Amino acid sequence: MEVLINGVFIGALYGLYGLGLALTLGLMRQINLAHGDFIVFSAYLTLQGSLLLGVHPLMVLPVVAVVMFVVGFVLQRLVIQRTLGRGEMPPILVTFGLSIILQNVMLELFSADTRNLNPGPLGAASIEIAGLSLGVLPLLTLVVAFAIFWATSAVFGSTKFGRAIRATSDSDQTAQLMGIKTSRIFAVAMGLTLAISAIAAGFYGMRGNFDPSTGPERMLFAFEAVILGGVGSIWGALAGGILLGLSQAAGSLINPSYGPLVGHLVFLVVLLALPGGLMSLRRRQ
Amino acid sequence: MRLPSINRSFIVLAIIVLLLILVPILGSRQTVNLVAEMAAVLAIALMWNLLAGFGGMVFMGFQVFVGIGGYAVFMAANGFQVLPFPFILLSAALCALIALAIMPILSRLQGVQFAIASWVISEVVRLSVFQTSVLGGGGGISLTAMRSVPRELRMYGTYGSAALVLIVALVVCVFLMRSRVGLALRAIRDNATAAEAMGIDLRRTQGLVMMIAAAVAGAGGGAYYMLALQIGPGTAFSMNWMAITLFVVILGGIGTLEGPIVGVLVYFLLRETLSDLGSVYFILLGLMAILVTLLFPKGAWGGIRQLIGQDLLPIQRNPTESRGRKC
Repeated sequence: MEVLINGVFIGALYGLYGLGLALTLGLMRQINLAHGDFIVFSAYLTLQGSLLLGVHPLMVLPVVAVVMFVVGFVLQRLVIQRTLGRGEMPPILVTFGLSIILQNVMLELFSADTRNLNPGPLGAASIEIAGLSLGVLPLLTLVVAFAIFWATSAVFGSTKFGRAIRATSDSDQTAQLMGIKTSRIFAVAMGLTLAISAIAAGFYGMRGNFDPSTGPERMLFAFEAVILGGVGSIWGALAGGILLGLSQAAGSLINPSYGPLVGHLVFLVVLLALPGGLMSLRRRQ
Repeated sequence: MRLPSINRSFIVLAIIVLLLILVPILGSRQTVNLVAEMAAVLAIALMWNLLAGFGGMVFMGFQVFVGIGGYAVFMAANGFQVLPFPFILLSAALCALIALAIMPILSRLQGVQFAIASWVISEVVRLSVFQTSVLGGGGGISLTAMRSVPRELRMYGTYGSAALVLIVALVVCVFLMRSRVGLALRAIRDNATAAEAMGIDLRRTQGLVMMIAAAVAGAGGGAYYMLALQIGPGTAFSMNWMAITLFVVILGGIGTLEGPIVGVLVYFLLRETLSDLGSVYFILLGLMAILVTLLFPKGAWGGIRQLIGQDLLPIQRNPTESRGRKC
């Protein structure tokens, strides 16, 4: 039971990884293959910041999120924007190159040692709910994830900026004709993607270990969360993330090292049986 | 002088075969091993280019065939304790079957989804091999069947296998791309709906090409790991294979046959001179891949082609040519 509850908590984290990816996938029909490496990079930034200032990682996290927003904005403007409109391949190739660069830059700067963020007393704290002892940190992860999802869907649903994003996602050419500066929208979306990932990275680093090579796996989990949930749906990414987290938890019950394998298999089965993801079930009803 | 394009292809192929025959006669032991490695890598890159460059199928988990090809040779040769060389055929057959098996998942995906799904499939195989003790688990296995083989035979046999795989890869590319299947494949890449409307069977065309690419890449993986004598899930199914393949194909010129050939020469030149730099070397490779994609999408071969003004392995159909032949 506790393993499964843990699966939900980890799943919320995957949902957060996926939320950023869902933004860019829905908007530009493209993903950033370096997404996971940016998550790991943010975790390292948080680690360095908290060591340097001698404060709790959570205190540094907002600053890292802002930094990563700027990184995303500039990256989109300078590099990824140039690949759009030239077919599906150039963005995949360029972001894969970026992934290799980031992994090796991190290797140079931070060495190959596995690191983690020290959550302090927060890590061991737990509260009792309905006879189950639940960690405070996982609960906090879940609450933060829900808050970010709620904020994102509120921004998308009822602000001018959200309307511009949805219009661009439906047809960027029409949006452009209506006076929306789509390249700016893309850049802001990429900034938000990396900022959300940075917050996810903070919680990831406090739960588990990371090293410069763990990025690609994060990217796969993020993408699986998005596809499991259904492309184009914000809450779908959270549902998909939780399904992925549960599958991995169930897998690790069979054998502790089967977690990721079972997660991948569930993803492939859903892809085969339900190409539209979980959210397509709801739409059909 | 412009020869009819099919003859030009034959001449260039014959020159490559001649060079591959001359290497073991004239080259040192080191050269022979290096060229064997280059041949295996080039065969794999040509096949990835066939899928992605000509077919628009960006198969990001291509290392799955390299790894399975390698493991097939190791398991069969170790099991029977015989010469491993013929078993690259087994690698090819096994990889073609696996390509057939994963087609139902991949055939309806496109672009990004195709790329990630193929990557996930490769991860599934890597993690499964990791858990399978018969396959050596995480530690991998060594090619014990090679121990009793004399050094000379080992070297020439491995070289011959790799060279043969490369020749097959080149011939397959030239003939396939000049055939109706190649034409259909490029039509699908350019506009799938229009291609289907013209009567092209999307699934059959893409499935056939994927099986061919998987088979040759599997044989290439088998040849490569015969040279390495050691195989493990961490290296055989590593994304590094994707990095090397992409670098060779992009730098040389994606969607051309000559591109990967140029690319593999550049890649090994850089590796032999710069690999001491460690991670800085990989940073440089990544930067070059990005710059070439953004600024010179036709790659190095695009530049060379402009200089010499003709294809060396032409695959375009030229209507004026057939008219010329009749005269």
